[in-house]
This record gives sequence, C-alpha cells and structure tokens, in this order.
Amino acid sequence: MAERTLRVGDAAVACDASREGDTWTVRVGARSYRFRCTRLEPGIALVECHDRARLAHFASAGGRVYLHLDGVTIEVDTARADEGAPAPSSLSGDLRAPMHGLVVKIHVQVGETVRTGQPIMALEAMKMEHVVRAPFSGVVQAVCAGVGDAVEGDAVVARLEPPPEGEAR
Amino acid sequence: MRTVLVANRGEIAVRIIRACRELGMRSVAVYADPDRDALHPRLADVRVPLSGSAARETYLSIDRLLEAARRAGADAVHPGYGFLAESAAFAAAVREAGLVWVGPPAEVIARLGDKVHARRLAARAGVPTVPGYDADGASDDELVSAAARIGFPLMIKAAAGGGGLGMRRVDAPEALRDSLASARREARAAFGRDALLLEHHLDGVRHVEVQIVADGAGTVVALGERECSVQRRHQKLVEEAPSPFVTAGLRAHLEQAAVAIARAAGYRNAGTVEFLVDADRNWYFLEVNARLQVEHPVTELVTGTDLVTTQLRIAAGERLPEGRPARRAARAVPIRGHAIECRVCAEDPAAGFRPTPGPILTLAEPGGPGVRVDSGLRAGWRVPVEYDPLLAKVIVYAPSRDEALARMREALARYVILGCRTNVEFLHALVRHPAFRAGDTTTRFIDRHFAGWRGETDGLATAVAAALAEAGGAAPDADGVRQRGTGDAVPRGWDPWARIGPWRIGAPPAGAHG
Repeated sequence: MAERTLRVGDAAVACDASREGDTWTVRVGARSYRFRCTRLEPGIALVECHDRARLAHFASAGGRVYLHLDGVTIEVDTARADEGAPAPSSLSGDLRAPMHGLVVKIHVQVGETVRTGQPIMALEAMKMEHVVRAPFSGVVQAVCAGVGDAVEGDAVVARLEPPPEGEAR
Repeated sequence: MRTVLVANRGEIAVRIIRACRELGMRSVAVYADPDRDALHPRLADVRVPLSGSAARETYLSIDRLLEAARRAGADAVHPGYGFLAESAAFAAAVREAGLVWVGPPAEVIARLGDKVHARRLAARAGVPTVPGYDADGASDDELVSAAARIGFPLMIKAAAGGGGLGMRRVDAPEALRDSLASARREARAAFGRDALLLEHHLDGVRHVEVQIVADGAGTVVALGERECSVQRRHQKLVEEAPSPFVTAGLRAHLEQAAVAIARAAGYRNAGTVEFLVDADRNWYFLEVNARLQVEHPVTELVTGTDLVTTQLRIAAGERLPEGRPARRAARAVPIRGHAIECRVCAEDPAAGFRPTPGPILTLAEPGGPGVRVDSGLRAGWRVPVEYDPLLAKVIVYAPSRDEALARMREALARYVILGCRTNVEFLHALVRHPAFRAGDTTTRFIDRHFAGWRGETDGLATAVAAALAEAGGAAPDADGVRQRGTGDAVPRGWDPWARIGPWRIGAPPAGAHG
C-alpha cells in the first residue's frame, strides 16, 4: 500500500485514502476509518461514521485546507503536503518571527556577541510584546528588520553564527 | 440622549449598538481601515471611518473620535472597554464638547485608574490591600530596593495598567531590572505613562470581582460576584457567576467592601471592584475597573439586569430602580442560576498563546436555549494584527453549574471558525477538565493543568481532512479548485465531494514510474 504524508496542523501524518462512491476508507497512522460523506452545499458536508452523523465545514485558501468536524478544527498544508520532515531545527542560525507583528525594539547590533537567551528583538502583535531570544551563544551576523517594520510570521528577522572554535564555552 | 457614538470595535461595539437600538437611540460606529468589513460598522445607524490602522491614530485618538461624534451629530459617547474606556482625558474631553459620557465622571476615572491611588483609597475605606510598594513615580532603583523588602515572587504592575499590560511576574532579583524595563515599555505603549508599582505575588489565589452600579444620586447596588481565576498572560479566559468558591458570608463581605469603595470614590455608572481571595478565604482589594467589563454578560444572566442599557439610562440621568437606604448592606438583586463565559480569541494555546490574526473563511456560531454569543465576527473579514485578539464570547446560562458546563461543551463544539486559528478547542478541553468541573480554579489553573497542551488529534477529523486534502488540494489544477475559485479569501464553489467516480489516493497514478 502506497502512503502519503500530510502536514495536518503542525504534525506530519501518514495516511492512505480510498473511495467508492460516497464511502471513504482512510487509514491514519495505525487506525482505519470508514465513513460516508455527502455534500450538502458548498463548504458543508454530512459525515456519517458508525451510527453518528456530523456536519463538516470546510474551506480552502492559500494552499491550506481547513476543516471543522464536531468541535475539532484541522488545517492541512497542501502546499507542503509531501514534505514529511518537520520544520527546520532550532539550531539553525536563522531567527524567525514567532508571529506576524511589528518590530518595536532591536536589542543588538551586527557583530555583537550574544549569550543563549539574550533578547535580540521585541515584536508586538495584538497588543502583546514578544521577545525573540538567542537560541545559542554566538555572533549576530545580520538583523533583517528595523523598528517599525511589519514582519510576517516565520520570516527571518536576524541571523546568528556560532562563535569560532575555541571561543565556544 | 438620542445618538450614541460607540468609541470601540469588535464584539463590544456590536453589544452596545444593539442596546442602543433597544432603547430607541441611534448608534454611530467608528472603524479603522482593517475593520472596514467588520461586523460592527454594518449594524450601526451611522458609520464614520477613522482612516488609518494603528490604534493610536484611530480608536485611541481623542481628536478623531470627537470629530466623528460632531460629524454624526452624536450627543453621547459609550467607550466600551479597553482603548479609551478608562481615559480620564477622553471622558473630560467628551464632557467639554458638550456630550454625555456613558461611564463614571472623569475625576473618578482618574482617581481609580491610577492603581497607586486606588490602593490608598481602599485602605482608607478600611478594605485590605495586597502587601506591596506604591510610591508615586518610583524609579527603578527605588523599586529594586523595595522589592528586596517585599520578597519574591512579586508582581510588577503599571500604575495606569489594565488587561494584563505592563504586568510581569518576577521570581528572582536578577530578573527584576529587565522586567521593569520591559513592563515600562509596554505600559508606555499601551497607556502613555510608565509609572509602576510592586505587589507581593500571592500564589494559588482566586480572582473574584463584584459588579456595582451607582446612579450618582446615592444609590449603589452590588450585583454579586464573578469568578475570573482562569487566566493566561494575566488576562481572563473563562468567567462565571456565581463563584463556586464564594460562600454567602464572603459574598456579603466583598459586596460591602465594593460598595464602600464605590461610595468613597463618588462612583457613578457601572463598575467592577476586583479582589484576590486565597485558599483560606482571606481577601484583598486589587483594583477598580471604572467601565463595563468584558465578562459583564455572566452577571446579566444571573441577575436579569441588562448592564449596558442600565449604563445608558444612568448616563441619561435616570435613577436606579433598586434604590435602597444608603446603609443597607444586603444585596438588592437576587442571584438565580449559573452562567459561564468563554473568551474566543485569535491565539494559539499550543504555542504560548501567541496571536494568530487571519481571515475568517467560514463562520457558524452556536445558539439554542441558554446559549448567548457576543461576537464581532463576520465571514469574509480578516482579523487584524493591530488590535486585541478577543473575537467573541460564548456565554451559557442554566439552572445549575453542571448543566451550564454541558451547555458550554456543546456550544463550543458547534462554533465553526475556519481560516483564523482560535482557542476554541482549548476552551473545550478546559471546561471538560475535572479540576474545572469541580470548581477548583485558581489563577495558576492553566499553568498547572495545561502547560505544554497540544490538543488531541482526532482520528476521524484527521481522516476526513486527509480525504479533503487529497480530493481538493493534491491536484488542484486538475480539479475545481482553481478554475471555480474566485481567487478571493473566501472560496465559494470549491467542493471536492463533487468529484465523480471511484478513485484511490496513495496509489501511484496510472503510467507513473514504479
């Protein structure tokens, strides 16, 4: 059986689906689900599984599919569907914005040596201040945004390089 | 009073506009650029744009709001909560412009809005306060030496603070100076002043508050308490009335203290007196919120009092019907049943509650007996990055707490918001938690029971989502996604279920290698 890995929310999920008419059989990890799915109107379908029926709401935008079923909301990143691997490791020197926000303060300058946990930049979104900190000790190679700039979530806002051999603690 | 300008946005603007309609008053909505397609401007009688998007140049701009009131012919201003609701300068400017301010007088806001002065006023009224340091204009050096006397952990608070802004918990002396600087910066951005005070951090306490209403003619009524202990980032997330922890005796003490503080402050209109209550039911005054609270609906449901229309009536000069002799201590308004509120926010509880602004692609809100949704949402609107993450409130009412909990679980499960990540599933998990069901809530509830929460992976939902993604997303060009979609944020015609014929995913396509 061939399988596909989907990015469901923040997790990589192995699944395998087949369909006959309205009836689907989908294996998710080690479990298999069989359900009937009937389209009621655009964006709404009736999902019948065992003796329960539930409304599924769904939509799609920006390479993502969104689904709500019985209190659970799921986002599937179809653009990254085949990337099984998780997001880049935190040991990369790229410091990313944790969210869409405005840069309100820059604590460091290029060339400065920083220690693990030292504040690099403060972002503000929805009235909250979030501090981007150094994930490891190193030298600031670049600061990619200025005070007042709007940055997208996951955008690289600064770059660190580990200190040269011998200086590392 | 014929025309009320609502100097706010989102769900509270919607709530106030509806109250104005009930009283036969005209309503004026103001909106910043990101709120052009929001719900609140659509419901008002008059819409005035505040061009720009930053809060400072729109909902926080006294000049622009007064200009909007003048243009729309408003004769009163309701500030809602947040933004300028506790700005004495705005209240005074509204009065000077010849308009009615729906809230306490500017002088009262100034007196109570400064936490330093509010603490002193409470102490003078014989009400216990949290041990701390509250000198006027204290410098970092003074605060650092005071901190050594108070002991750790302690709380830094902005004197002008509210909504958890400018507030930091500090566990050790080394972290104090950084936290002071960060709190000052946040306070300056939010309130325009950065004066701070320190309070000893009381651990494992509950946050209980008393709703009061005063008509300025001698009648001050307490409308029972609200339990608001379940918080994240020092902001409330779930509130209920009555508190499962407050006994009749404690309620009487808190109500008496709240009324005493309101009288000492010369209070008028609706307000809230907040307290901390420890496990032994010792209680301390925390602050007065000289405005309508986010969580006012739970009090409305258990007392049968509409607080927003009451605010408008008091502002228009009416006396309270519950008028009682000034010295009467007993609660004038009986409490009936149980109400719970959950705040629906654009935030990701699995990622430190970080904000998650985004588009509303699909919206379906719950209803039915005992379910109230105060919402500012509209499908097709995009939740902006500029303002508060609060989107809506689900409030349930039932004869008992258990029945209210069942109602809340079902209401949250039926709340559909697609496109913008929200905390709805987290709220659902929270109200299902055995400790919450037992009423065992303190301000550490989320840290204690939900640290590292990731959400459950629902197998069936994942299976349906996987089928959906495969049917619609895996081969978008071959199917209806692109050609039928409008390219808008809200796809209308996209429907993977309409595909015809038996097929199989996962298997390699015909003719492919392997």
